[in-house]
Amino acid sequence: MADKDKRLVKQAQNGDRSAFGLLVKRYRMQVLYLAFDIVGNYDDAQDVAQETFIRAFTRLHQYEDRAKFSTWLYRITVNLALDTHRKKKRSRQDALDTRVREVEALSIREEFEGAHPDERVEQNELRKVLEDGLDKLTENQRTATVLKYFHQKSSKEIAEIMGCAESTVRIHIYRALQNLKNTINY
Amino acid sequence: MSTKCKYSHLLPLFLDGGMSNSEHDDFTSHLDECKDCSESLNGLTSIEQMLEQYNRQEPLVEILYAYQTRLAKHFPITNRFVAAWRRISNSWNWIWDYHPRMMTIARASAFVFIGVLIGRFVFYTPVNEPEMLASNAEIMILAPDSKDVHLVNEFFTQSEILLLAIKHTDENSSAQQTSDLKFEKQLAQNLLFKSQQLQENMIVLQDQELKAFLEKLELVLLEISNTEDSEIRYIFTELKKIINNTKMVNQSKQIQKKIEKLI
Repeated sequence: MADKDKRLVKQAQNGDRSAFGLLVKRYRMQVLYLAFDIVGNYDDAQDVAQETFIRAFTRLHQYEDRAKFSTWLYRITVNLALDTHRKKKRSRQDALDTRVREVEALSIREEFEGAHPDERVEQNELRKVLEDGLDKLTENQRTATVLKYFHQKSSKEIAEIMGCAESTVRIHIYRALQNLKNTINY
Repeated sequence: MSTKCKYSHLLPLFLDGGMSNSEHDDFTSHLDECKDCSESLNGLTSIEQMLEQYNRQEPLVEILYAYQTRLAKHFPITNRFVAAWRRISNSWNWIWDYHPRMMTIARASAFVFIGVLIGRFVFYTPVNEPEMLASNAEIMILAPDSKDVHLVNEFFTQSEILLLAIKHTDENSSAQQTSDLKFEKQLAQNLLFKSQQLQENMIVLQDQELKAFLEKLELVLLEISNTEDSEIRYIFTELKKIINNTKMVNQSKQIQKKIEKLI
């Protein structure tokens, strides 16, 4: 995977836009999900994701293949998503409306997929509890937690993405778990 | 760290699985003794389990569609084969740009090669070129056309008739007329001539069994051809013994079967 990425990146660096198109195709959902996990809604997440790919393409000459391309792309995504989260203060009602629409769509989809109603309620409750808890974390704690548990990144990769030491990442995650525990009162 | 234990600062490292084996064992032993650390760890592990069970909301279909359309505007996602072809074309252009002499040589070689191929098929007609009629058969007959295969078949059929005639020769019987014996002598001479003809026509029989048989047959034919008419009956009775001992009639039948498969 990483070798193929490097080859595509090299071709894209030589001006082959279709090679970058293949990279976009490979990472578009991961980037969208990461943006969503940080900003909390898909309207903003898709803006962040689109901006991520544009920025990655325009700054592709800055990429050095010491790190994995996905790590570099995640770093851009995290930075843009955090910026969006900070700057773009959407009205709470708008976000709520989007969330309601998404939950409704999910309910319909799960009904079609035949999920047991009790299971659905349980999943929705768990999701709500966790998302409320994550909302209360600091940016760094949230980012580190999201990368570790929702994107299965190692502490080393998270450190590269966030631009900090591995030990710092461990502390962020530890604090995040403590805070979540207190919030959820588990 | 919220626990009062002096080793609680190791909890993040333990949770992350970043300890060496010995450190891990030491800390596990510590957890057995330290209530603060073990309670703290249990609580955090529960949260970890919750996080691992978390299922993110999927985006609405229209959001997904809009997102992919927006991306496609900036970065057209082409079919992988088209993209591969473009990459090949690009690398071709690269060679052309940086190695024009090499490309000229390659093109000239390709031109000559195509010319030779066209010439081979348009102007060249094979003249009496041996053709492999049955490459997988045990007997390989390299012959210009199928007429020769029939010639071989005819040769062996007639040989069998002669061998049978010799086999049924009776020294004391008057049933077998001398004229018959003369006819059989003529047949033997004829077959000897055909055998030479087959070899002159470049019909090569690549089969050890067949070669051995042919050698024996030629000896029989030579013997009959060189015998005086008056001594034919005698020589036939002598050859009869040899033919019976060496089972030449059976061999002849087997060889004919092989040849029939080729026709």
